[in-house]
Amino acid sequence: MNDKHQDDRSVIGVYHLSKKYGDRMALDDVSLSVANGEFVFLVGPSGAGKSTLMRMIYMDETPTSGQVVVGKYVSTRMKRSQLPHLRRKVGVVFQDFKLLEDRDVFENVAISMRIRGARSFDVKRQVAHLLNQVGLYHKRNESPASLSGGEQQRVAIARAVVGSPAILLADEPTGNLDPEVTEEILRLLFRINSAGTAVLMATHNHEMVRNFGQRIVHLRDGTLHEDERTGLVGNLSDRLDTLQHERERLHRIENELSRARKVAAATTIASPAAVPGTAVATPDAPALSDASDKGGAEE
Amino acid sequence: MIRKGIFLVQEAFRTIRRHKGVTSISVIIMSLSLLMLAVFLLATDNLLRLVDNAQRDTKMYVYLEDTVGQSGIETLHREILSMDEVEGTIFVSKVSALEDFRLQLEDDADLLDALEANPLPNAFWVTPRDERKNSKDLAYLAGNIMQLEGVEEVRYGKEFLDKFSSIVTAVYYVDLFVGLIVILSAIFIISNAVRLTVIGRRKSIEILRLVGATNRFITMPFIIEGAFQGGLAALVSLILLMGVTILVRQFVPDLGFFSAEKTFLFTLACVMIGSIGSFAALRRFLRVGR
Repeated sequence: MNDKHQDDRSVIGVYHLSKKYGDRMALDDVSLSVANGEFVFLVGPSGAGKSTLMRMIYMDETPTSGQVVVGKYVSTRMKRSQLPHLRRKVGVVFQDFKLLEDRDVFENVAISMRIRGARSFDVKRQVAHLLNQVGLYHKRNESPASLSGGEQQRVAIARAVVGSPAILLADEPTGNLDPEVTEEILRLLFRINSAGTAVLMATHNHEMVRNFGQRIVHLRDGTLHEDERTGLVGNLSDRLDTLQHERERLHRIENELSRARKVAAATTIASPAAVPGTAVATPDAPALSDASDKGGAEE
Repeated sequence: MIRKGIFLVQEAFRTIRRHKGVTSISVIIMSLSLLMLAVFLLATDNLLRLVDNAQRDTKMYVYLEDTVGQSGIETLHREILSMDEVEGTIFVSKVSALEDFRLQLEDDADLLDALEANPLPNAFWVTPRDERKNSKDLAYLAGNIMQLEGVEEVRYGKEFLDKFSSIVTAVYYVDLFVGLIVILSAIFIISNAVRLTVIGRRKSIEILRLVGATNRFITMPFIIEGAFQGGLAALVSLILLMGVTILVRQFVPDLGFFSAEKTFLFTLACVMIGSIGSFAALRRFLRVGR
């Protein structure tokens, strides 16, 4: 096993990953790859191993066997001194927000930049920009404890992305929030994703995420149960473009089809016995069947 | 680098301000245990000075035979001075010795008039070097001087010195033993106090690690804070000790306080214990997970 498994576009590679706590198998031979800019839901009931998998991706836990590759960082070759640098490439958001209680909203976001030694001018500008984006600039001087759950999670998300990480991990980010706020948080995550950040979001709520048309990976009892790929990779706006393109293509196919029918009808009138041969001989026909096969595979 | 350094110092003082309660309790605990240590150190300091003073007074009296003439006295003077153990010598002639004796006798000085001749011998007062003022070296020196031509007797309070040095040795070991216990318990109490402040901020430490703070970034504010607490506790304990000293002086007027140099060293040691204690307490947390 080596990191050659990872293709050029993947930002997270998980290879035959197992984690054992005592006698309990928390994860059992899980393999998964997340492409650059992809949005993936990690779905499974409580105890399925979602959080364990997340923790191994930001390398807070070491695998019992297998390997995790995040960008240029490989879990089996990871030095302790490299860990902070990995964490700066991977933003993490938690169900319980994990905000610093003894600092105000501004400093909670700023801390991500301060640890990198950013200039205070840059810190001010960028943190203000992000707080505006999550709609909390007016609360920048307040303590996290005085904010609602949704607001606290928005602060946590701002903190996670302030350093423009390539990956955002969100572990049940909406677990403590009511449905309206949940939607707001999801929209924020989609927006972050559309700017190019790969997002891996764990949730136990399949119902909530099934209709977004994103890739959904199902974990059950520590194993990868199903990988619902829509077959399309890219961020949401790319996805919309692709759908548009697909619709136009289907439209074209329909046109071809009706034209072929007309041709076939005309031929039948001229020579009824030659119908199948004529259909095959139609120049557009192979392209048509080819296209519909492809369309089927992509469903 | 400098920017980060300034930020880390600001961080340290920000947390001290934010956690005034915990900081105060921790400084009070540290001050009291340091007071215990300071009392011990001051007692030791005074004891050593007492021993030192007693030893500094040590002199050796070398009495000469009456037959030794002026040139013999000069030769002896040279020979004694050339010995390694000897710091200096003063010649006390039999005439001036009698004068001194007369002064000591005060009202009874008339008694001396009854004497036909001066019974006191010529003598040297030999001052040994400080590091040789122990019973072993003095016995050796006395032996050597006795060998010289014209020396009648050598006296240096051998019995007293032997007893004194064995008492000093015993006290020294007891002191060392007590000192070890006091120092260890002070370090134990201080590192526990510091650990409490660290445990109180475990969640913050975890969050900082998650957002990619290096260990140095996390530990530096704590080390600065520990140093600050150690220094402050040292000052508080020294002020308390000063108070105790003033009280005790009513009974023991000669009781001395630390010299400026020792005060500074004590404070410096406390600053170091505080910062090292912080660092040690943190290391355990930073090892968690990875």
